[in-house]
Amino acid sequence: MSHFEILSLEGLRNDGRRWDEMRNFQCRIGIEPSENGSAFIELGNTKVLCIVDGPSEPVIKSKARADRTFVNVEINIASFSTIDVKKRFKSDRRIQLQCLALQNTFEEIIQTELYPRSQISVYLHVLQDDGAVMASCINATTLALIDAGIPVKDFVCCSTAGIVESDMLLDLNSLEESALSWLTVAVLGNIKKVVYMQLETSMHLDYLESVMNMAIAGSEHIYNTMQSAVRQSAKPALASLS
Amino acid sequence: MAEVEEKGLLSYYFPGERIPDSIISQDGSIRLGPGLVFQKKDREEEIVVSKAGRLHQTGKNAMLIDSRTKRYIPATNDQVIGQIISRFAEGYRVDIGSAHIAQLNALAFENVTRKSRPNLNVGSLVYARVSLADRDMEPELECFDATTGKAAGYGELKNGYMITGLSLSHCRKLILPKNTLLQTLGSYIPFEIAVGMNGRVWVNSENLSTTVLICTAIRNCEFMSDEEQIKYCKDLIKKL
Repeated sequence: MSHFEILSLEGLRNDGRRWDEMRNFQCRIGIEPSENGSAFIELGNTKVLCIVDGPSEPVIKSKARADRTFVNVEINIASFSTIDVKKRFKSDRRIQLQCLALQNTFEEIIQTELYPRSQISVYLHVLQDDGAVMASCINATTLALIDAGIPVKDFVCCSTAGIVESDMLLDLNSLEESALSWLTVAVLGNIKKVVYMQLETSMHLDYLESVMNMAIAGSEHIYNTMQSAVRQSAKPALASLS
Repeated sequence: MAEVEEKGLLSYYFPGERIPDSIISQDGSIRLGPGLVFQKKDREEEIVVSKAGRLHQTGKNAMLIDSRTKRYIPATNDQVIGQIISRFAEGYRVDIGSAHIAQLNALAFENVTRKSRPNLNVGSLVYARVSLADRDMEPELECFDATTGKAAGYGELKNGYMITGLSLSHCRKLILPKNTLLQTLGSYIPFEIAVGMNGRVWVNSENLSTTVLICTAIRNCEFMSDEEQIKYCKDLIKKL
């Protein structure tokens, strides 16, 4: 795919966005009242549902840790989530690596020492995949954990950015992801500390820092939207206070 | 209503935010409740929020974050409603909705000897008090008041209906002595109620329709003001 198909002469992408424009980001929390915590995220056409259960007794006793909780992450990608309909199994190596990455990220963020010998289960359902799936999973997990009332050190906000020749692009869709060098960056909302970074393709070192900064700027926008979603969910409770 | 929301949102905090020094009492030590963490960063001491919720200052030097959590974490002397899931030689294993199954000793009842133990079946509901809640041990329950040795309302809950899935903050409101909702309902319908701090409420009344009515009122009145609760209860009773 040529450079001009990704970014036109007018500086527009194939979905009409400018280089520094994000897709429509919407999030709702507490959508599953029967669960401890739940969140639904839409980033353009990417849709992710996250359900958090716990802290509860570990299903596999050997995974219980005496001093802290164990975070179990499961990602289920729907067979209809992409254009090519194919069943993805949990044994898929790529899915397992994504689960492990999420597990390691959130074990650092959750105050695991408060719940020894227990398990926090995170179930992610990717209903539609149009790029930035990992970023959406991280954002959805953060909101679901907050909804569940599990103590976390900060919001974890994630965004993607890529580079085509010397032009940088923010928040890539699946078409752009398949053609460009891109990275996923997750930062803590308040202190802007990078907690997760994923770069699967090769990228010139000269561009790495600027692409990273762009992804961090995108995460800041996501942080503000996530905050307002949490605030929105709290309004009924606050309205009853006199 | 908008004014109330704005007023409330001023004391609404998000994870990672610092509690301003102006709020913190400068004299004496500060007691931090759930949702608050003490951090030392670059020789600076700060209190950081770890849960999204409203800041509550319970005493002069005590603070906590009140969030709408559904998962119960056992604390000593909490009143809980549990369901017996299995029996063992010395007592019962009880599900109280926490991360770990609680233990209820067969002798932890009023006036019980080894020969006159209560016979509780699997699935029975008990109203108990958490006697031991340690991070590294399973919670332990008792069905008597520790100070008097009397049952004081604790014990097996027979008949009735248990409401589950309520937020812990709602249960904390219901357990208050002067709760508007329960007082309003009580002035029209005679009923028994046991409120657990673990997000469970047991209700029993003379017939099924009134029990359902009370349960509906408890479920729906979480976000209502006192006036709205009274009006809602009266409307429900009219339909009865």
